[in-house]
Amino acid sequence: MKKIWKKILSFSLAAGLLFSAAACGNNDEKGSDGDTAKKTEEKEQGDNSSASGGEVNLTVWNEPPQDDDLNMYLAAEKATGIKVNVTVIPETEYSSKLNQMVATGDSSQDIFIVWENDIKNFADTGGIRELDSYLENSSVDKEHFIDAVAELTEGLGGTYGLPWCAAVEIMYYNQDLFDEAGIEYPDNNWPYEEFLSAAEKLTKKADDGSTEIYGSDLPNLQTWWAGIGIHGDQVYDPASGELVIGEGAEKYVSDVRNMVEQGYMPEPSSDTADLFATGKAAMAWLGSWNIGVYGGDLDFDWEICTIPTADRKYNTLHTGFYTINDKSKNQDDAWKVIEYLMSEEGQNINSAASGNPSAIIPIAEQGVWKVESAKTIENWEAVTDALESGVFGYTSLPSGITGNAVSEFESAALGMKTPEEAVEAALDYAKSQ
Amino acid sequence: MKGKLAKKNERTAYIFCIPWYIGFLAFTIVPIVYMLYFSLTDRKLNGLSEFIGFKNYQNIFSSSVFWNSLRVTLFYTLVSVVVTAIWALFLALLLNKKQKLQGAFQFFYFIPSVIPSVALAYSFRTIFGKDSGLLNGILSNFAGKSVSVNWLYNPQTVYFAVFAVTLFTYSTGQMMMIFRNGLNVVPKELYESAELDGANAVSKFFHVTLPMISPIFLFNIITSVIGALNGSFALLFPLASENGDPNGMTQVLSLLIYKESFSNMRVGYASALSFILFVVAALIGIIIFALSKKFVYYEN
Amino acid sequence: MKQRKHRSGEILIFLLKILVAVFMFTPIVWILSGSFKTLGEFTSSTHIIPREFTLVNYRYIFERSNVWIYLRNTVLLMTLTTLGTLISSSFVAYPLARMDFKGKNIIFGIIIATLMVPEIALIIPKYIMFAEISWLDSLLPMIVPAFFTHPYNTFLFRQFFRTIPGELDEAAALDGCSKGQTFFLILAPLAKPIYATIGVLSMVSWWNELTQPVFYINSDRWRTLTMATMTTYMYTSGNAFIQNWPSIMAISTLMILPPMLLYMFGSSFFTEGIKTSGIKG
Repeated sequence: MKKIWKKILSFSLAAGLLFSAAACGNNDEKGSDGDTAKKTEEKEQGDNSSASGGEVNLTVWNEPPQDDDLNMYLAAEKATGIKVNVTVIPETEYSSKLNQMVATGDSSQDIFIVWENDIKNFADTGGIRELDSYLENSSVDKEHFIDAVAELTEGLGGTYGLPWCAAVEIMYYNQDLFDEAGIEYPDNNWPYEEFLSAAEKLTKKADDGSTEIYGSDLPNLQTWWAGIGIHGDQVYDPASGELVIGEGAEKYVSDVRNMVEQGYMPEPSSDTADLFATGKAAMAWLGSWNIGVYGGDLDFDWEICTIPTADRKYNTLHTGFYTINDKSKNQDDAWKVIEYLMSEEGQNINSAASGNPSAIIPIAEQGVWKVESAKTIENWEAVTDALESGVFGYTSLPSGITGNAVSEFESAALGMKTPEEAVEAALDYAKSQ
Repeated sequence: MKGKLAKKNERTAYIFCIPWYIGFLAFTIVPIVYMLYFSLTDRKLNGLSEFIGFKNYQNIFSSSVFWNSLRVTLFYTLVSVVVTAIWALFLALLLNKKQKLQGAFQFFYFIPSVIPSVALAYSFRTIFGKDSGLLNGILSNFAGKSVSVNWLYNPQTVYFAVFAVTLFTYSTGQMMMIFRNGLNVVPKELYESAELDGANAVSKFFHVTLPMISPIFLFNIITSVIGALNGSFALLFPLASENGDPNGMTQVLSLLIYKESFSNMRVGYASALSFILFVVAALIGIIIFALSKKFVYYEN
Repeated sequence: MKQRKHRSGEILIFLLKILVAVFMFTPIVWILSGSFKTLGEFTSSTHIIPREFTLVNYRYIFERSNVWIYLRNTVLLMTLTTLGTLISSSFVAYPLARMDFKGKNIIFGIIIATLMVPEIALIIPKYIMFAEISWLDSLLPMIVPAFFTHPYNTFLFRQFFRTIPGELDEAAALDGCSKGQTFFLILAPLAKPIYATIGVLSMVSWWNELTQPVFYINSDRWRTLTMATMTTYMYTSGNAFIQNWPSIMAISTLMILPPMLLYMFGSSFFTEGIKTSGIKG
């Protein structure tokens, strides 16, 4: 009997303890969390005073390259003596998560690489700090930035971010398939009509009518807007901050619908795959950073050119801005890292890794962005040409609006609604915001 | 004396309920109040907010995206509950037929339900894929020519595909187990007397089994409705994205709430949507309880 | 004659069972097989057995990603929420099942009513609430509420406590136990199986939880495995929108294993709990 009581007593004690822990769980948790936060703060501040050996957290949307020589963050660590921790948030959620971090005053991240559509909002709400005081005594010269960047950051009332690169959208094509079909390689002034007819000729069908090789891959979330832009639509109106699409979008969406129907382009589907890389699509409109991704890994000869020209040349410029979190405790260290990343060396490593030119004209002119491993590329002018015709377009709009619009376009590509209906629905949704 | 003890006991009872008072207040009442309040503001994700009265609701009720989403929510909930309940009952009936390898069969039937919904969704995005999907691959083998149905992006097949995925969710596995247990408690004598009356297997099922397990059916339907409303996000977000592709055909309210609050950063608007979802769930609950009074057979 | 008909019926049912088993197990086989394929093979063929068997996906997970951080977060989330719900839900269930007091029916009625409120309907206001007290981007918004009861688990505990004979309480009272002592000394030890069952069910459901982390967590350091499946393992390196399917399949395989093993070695936890919940309320 005694034994049982002992057992029971110990159990009840344990349970009681657990409960008291439970009731105070709230405070305990918070307390301990706060403590660790404080500890790291102290540590960080201690590091700060010693000028080097600090630690900086940086948020970005793409994985750093696996090749250490091409990893600019590692290079920054070596050059500054400050440890750079990279947090990757995928592109589809990047803007949203960054907004949440800024809104909740997150202090864990020191450097955000901020998108075009967010920088103004963050600057206005004080989420990121202005960098002019740092720039005064710095080697970074913002006079040399490409014009588009200067235009974009006008009206912020100061410099809040520095462009990490200037990426463009271009067309990739499979030379082997062009040879087989006996089609001349496209140049940087390739008419859109020829793109359409090439897509038809390059398509290879099986006996049962199904497509084995598509003439062109489907535009992705980004290049839908290039297709719309080349048909004359403004896409984004900086003055009103609104989505502006119309006849150009209708034309392009109906062309895509037509190509999908004919089997020249794949349907939007749930098991998205990179058809260009596997040799199952002869052409693809993608960002210039894919040069770095493909490098020497593809089993066929490939080349690049600008997005075909319809009513005009158009593609969307992509960048991100190095900014410093206003709540960061390591702002000085953060600046040192940014300064390195903006330096000739830092910019060139980024270019060599990604294939994206620097947004600083004299550095871009050195041509390090001509990715070495991409041996089959000769037409590097495609990138500089695209830089000239590139604008900051859809990237200045909230991702909810543009994502919704692409979903509408894809519905039309699947034949679930007419291109006119899709464009109207996309506009309606944008207006309701 | 007795009164004192009773009072003491009553006090103990209240003490034991403390976690509930706090939890209910902090994590149900307060959020409801918040929801009502912020649904009347234009609060943005960055915290800026201004009182705008019923404007959010006006906008919602004039938005075709919302009405589509409400329709999809009701449709998804209703069909997935029916489909999964029938499938779960089917599995339970199979398992209750005592044969060899009972344990193994139960393992195979139940184990899909412990797959994380995100893993399930991604595997089905590729199983139902157009060019390299497993289902099309199998069908091609049988047909002897290439079959390339775009299961999840074709308006004719998307619902078939989505509801096929719900057969593998936790809710289905749970219902199957509950049915199994319920079937075991049906008194044997009832079957025997039905057999004497010349009933065949089908009529035995409809006249004995179904009425006897109707309370369990109700319980299952309730948990499955909650499961469908709650679990729809975890399944459809990875399966069809926040836009409910294709063409919003799978955009249940939870996806719209996510999209409005995080992609468009309109937290106030999303609060108003949340309140509507709250009301919808409450109405569904009331309807089920009302119907159950009519159809469910209770022993006593 | 009848016997033979019976026999063939049995065989037919058995075959049907096998067919259904194959059907139900297909996604798991597909996930497992995909995890050993290269991206190229995965997106261009539908063979179950990989032509070009590779471990590159697993190597990526263990060598290149913060998988141990995600695992730590998931385990932390799973154990703390389970601990919380076991303690708090059983506490509240006790008076509801075995004591008479004013307001009991009201409380129980509200608990049943809250059962009908989908978590997702309150997640935005909770998000705002947790933002105001700076709990976002941590596990607190999920762990702390668990310590203040979960309606479904409270209901399960109540159902179980009601099955324990009332004479036990009376005997305990005669021994001089107060109602509070009765819970700790008599009831809770007797209820071990239901604790184990609800514990297992809760752990599995938090292991698989996706919705709440997606809303509450921003940064890499608090990501759970489910969330990492949608983020870290989703794309190939670079922002090329190239979905890395085999990597998703590999992390999925790893995530399926623990609940599967748990079921293999303790299927009774799953079945028992479900039996309890099946008792007519």
